[in-house]
Amino acid sequence: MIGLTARQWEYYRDLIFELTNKELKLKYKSSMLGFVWSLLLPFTHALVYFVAFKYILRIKVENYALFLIVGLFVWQWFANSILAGTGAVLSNGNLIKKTKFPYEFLVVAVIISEWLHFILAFVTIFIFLGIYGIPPNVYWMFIPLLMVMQSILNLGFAFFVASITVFFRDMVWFINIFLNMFFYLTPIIYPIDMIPDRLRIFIVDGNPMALFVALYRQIIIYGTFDYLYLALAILYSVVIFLFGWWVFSKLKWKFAEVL
Amino acid sequence: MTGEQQEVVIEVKNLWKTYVLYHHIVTSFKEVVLHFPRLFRKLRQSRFEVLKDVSFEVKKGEVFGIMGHNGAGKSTLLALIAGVIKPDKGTIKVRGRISPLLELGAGFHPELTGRENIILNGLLLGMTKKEIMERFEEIVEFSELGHFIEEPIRIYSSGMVARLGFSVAVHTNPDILLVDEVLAVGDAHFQQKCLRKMQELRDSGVTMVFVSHSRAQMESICDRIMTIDHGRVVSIEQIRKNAKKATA
Ligand SMILES: Nc1ncnc2c1ncn2[C@@H]1O[C@H](COP(=O)(O)OP(=O)(O)O)[C@@H](O)[C@H]1O
Ligand SMILES: [Mg+2]
Repeated sequence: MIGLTARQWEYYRDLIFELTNKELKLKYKSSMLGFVWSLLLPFTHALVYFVAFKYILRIKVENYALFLIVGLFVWQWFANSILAGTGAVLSNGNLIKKTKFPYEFLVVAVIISEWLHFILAFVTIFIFLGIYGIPPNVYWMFIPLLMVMQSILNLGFAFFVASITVFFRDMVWFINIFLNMFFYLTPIIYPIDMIPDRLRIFIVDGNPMALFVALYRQIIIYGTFDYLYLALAILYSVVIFLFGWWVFSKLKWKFAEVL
Repeated sequence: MTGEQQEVVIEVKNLWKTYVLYHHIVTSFKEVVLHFPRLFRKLRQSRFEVLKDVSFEVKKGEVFGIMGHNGAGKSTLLALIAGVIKPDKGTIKVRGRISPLLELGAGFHPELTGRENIILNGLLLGMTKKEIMERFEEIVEFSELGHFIEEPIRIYSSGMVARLGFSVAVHTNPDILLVDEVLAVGDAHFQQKCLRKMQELRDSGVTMVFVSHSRAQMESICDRIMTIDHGRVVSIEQIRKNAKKATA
């Protein structure tokens, strides 16, 4: 990054800005409520889980509504990034076939657009903190780091699905099944301490999303922080990012031929 | 070949290109399951040799025409020069900035407006937003799209798309312009305008590779014309001698 000239900086800034802008425009081009929808979805999920788990299954979790909101927002960000990633290359065939440019930026733009959604959702968490009377704490300073690391994780997955989908359109179905299974196998609607010890190593220690959800909850709700979780989350994110990027760069030469 | 040493800006050497038809191999999971026995045969059938041992050079400021029947491999050759696809064998060396491939249904996003597409295209070509905005009025004016510039591209006619595509390509200061049969869709007035613009660009030293169906159009502007047949170069004719000097 140091080798970039002022003009290159300006160029990449403009490119990312315009591509992200395009993502957002296309997403909401014929929707009246726009951004509101992407908030409404996790909120309605939260409401349904709240009723089902709190009043029917009688789960014993303190501040369960806040617990759900934090988990679902973090998960939704991940799931939406991957789903949007499937179309990042596919829906830009016209551009890819005519001009040679760093296609990676198409995926980056999708990831940034989903990140903006998450930021907006995150603001609503403040309202809940106010209701529950939970003050911010010193660990909040880790939140930007968590967001950067999860963006890298999302980007890795998105690189992978964006390039594979070009050759294998059914990928979208696999993604849906994968996300559905992954959601219930990740401690989002239930707490980690309900998971039997021998399963914890798979469901928590080996699962970057479980770690991210747990870290956000520790910071926001409980005012604690687990550095081992953070280290593991960073490790998985970087590995998945590098793998996704590698797959993308191996396949990108064929995009213009296949689209 | 005129004795005078002109710089070579496009150098294509022993180029081979084969398409693998991926869609025949894995279109969907259903295909794989239902047609498994036939899949292997299909795999063998689905390789297609488009360009065979193609070599040529284009010099700076030259207008190089490519002719050939439908499916001869002209568009593929332009895509290789533009660098959007890669050859299997052989080399392509290009010096300078290339315009977007100008062909039917240019590289626009159908849901974005003409204005948004101009900005996006400029960026993908390597220009900053500021550089694009400096030329914006000129681009819109040349395209003669008027208020349609604020409408999404999907409602444009093919002639309108071609006009905008051509206008963006020529106004982004390319060193090399690749034009693939775009003029066929515009009306006579716009064709004339484009040809004039191309002559103007040639005089200012822009190199052009031009594919058209009209032999007359080709001869009116090209310095040399290459004919390809089923992916092989048949001939390279010199149409004009010392074109650069004649116009200077
Ligand atoms: N992306 C592609 N994948 C597979 N085959 C292709 C692709 N593009 C072109 N072809 C095939 O390659 C041949 C040459 O195409 P093209 O270069 O477009 O010819 P031309 O422009 O001379 O009419 C055609 O038979 C066409 O069907
Ligand atoms: Mg063609």
